[in-house]
Amino acid sequence: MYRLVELLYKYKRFFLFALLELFCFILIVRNNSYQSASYYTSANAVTGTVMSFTNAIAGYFSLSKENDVLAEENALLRVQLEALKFSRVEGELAKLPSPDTNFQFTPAKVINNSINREDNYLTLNRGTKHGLEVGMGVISTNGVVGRIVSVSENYASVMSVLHTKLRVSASVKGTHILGSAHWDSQNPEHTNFEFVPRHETVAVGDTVVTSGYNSVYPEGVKMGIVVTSNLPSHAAFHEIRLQFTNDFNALDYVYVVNNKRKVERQRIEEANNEQ
Amino acid sequence: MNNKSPITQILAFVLYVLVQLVFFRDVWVFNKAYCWIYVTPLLLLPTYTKDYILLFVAFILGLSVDVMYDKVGVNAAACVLLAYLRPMVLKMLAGQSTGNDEVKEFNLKNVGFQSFSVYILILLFSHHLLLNLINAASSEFIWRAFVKTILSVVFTYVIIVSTQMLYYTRRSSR
Repeated sequence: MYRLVELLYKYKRFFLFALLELFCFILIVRNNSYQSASYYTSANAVTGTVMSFTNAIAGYFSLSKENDVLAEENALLRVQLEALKFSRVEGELAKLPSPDTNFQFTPAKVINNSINREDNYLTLNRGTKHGLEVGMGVISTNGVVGRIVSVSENYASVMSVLHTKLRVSASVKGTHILGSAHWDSQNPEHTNFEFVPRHETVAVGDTVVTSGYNSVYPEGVKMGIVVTSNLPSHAAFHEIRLQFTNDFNALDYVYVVNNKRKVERQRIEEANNEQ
Repeated sequence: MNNKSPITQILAFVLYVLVQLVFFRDVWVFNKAYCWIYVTPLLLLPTYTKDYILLFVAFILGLSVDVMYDKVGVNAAACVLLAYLRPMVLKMLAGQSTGNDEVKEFNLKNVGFQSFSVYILILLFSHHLLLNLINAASSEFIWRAFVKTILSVVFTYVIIVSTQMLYYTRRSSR
C-alpha cells in the first residue's frame, strides 16, 4: 500500500495528466453522439449572447446583399400571388389538389455558421420560446440547410447538411429516382448523392430535391444540381456529385420547418414496424 | 514583462480566447490551415509555474474554447497534452541558447529566435496533431488530419512569432 502511494506520488504529474486526458475523452465521447449535444453547444445562453453580438456587427456588411435576396423573394412571392389570383378567376383553384398545410415555417436569423470543419453546425436566434423543437428541418430560399439538434429558450443549434452524420432523403426532380444526400466533408460546395440504383439514368444538370419521405422537409425543396455522374462497371449504385443550390457561406435568414403531423405520421409508420 | 501579476496573466488568457473567437474563428487558409492562437498565454507562462497548476490551467483554457466550438473536450485534451509536454521541452532546451538555465520567462526576447521557434513548434505540433486526430477520428479521415496539422502549425507559428516580435520591438523602441 505504501509503495503504491509512493509510486503515485513519484509520478503525480503523469497521473494528473492521464486523469485529465481521460476526463476529456469521456466528455468527447459523451457529447459527440447524434443528439446529445445539449448543454455545452452554442445553443447555451452565454455563447449565444457573444455570438449574436459579433453577428450584430458583422451583419451590417451584408445588408445590401441581403436586401437583394429579400427583394428577389418578394418578387417571387408576388408572381405566385398573381398566379393564384388568376387561377381563382378562372375557377381553376377548385381543380387543384388542396395545398399541403401540414407545414409551418418560422423565419430565423443565422447568428453563427461554419463550413470548413469536418462536421458543421449553425446557430439560430430562435428557440423554444418561438416554438422550435429538436428534430425540425431548416431550409432557406435556396434549398435545404440542416436539422435542429438542440434548442434553448432563445437559440437553436442546427446540424448543417455539411455534416457527416446527416443524410437527407432526396429524389431527382420530376422523376421517382430516390437517393440519399450525404456530405463527405471534402468541399462545402459539393455533396454526394448516394444509393441511386444502376438501372436508373441520371443526367448532368438534373435538379435534386427533397423526397418528402422523411417527414422533416416538405417535398420538393431544392438540394443541388448534378455535376458529375459515374457508373463504375462493378458498382451497384451510381456515383453522383451534386453542387449545392445553397451558398452556405452566405446564409443569413432561414426558415424552420414544423411538420404539424409529424408525430401522427411517425406513430402510424412505427406501428407497421412493430407488427 | 518580468513579474507579471496573476491578474495580468488571467487577462491575457481572456484576451487571447476572445481574439481566437472573434478574429480567428472562421479564418481558414487554403481550406486547411487554421490558427489556434489561444494557446499563446499557455506557452508564455513563467517557467517556474508549478506542473499541476499548468495542467489545470490548460484544461480550463481548453474547455472554455471548446464551449464555443461545439465539440466539448477536444481542445481541452490537446491543451492538457501541451501542458504535460511543456516542462520536458523546456528542460531539453534549457541552457542551449543563453547558457543560463534560469530563464524565468521563456519568450522571444530572453531566449532568441531559434530556441523560441523550436520550443513553440514542438508544442504546437503536439497540440494541433492531437486536436486534428480527435476531430478526424470521429469522421474517418485520418490522413487528412496530418496535412491539416502541418499547415495549421505553420499558420499559428507565423501569427504567434509575428505578434511576439511586434510586442518586443514596440517595447524596446520606447
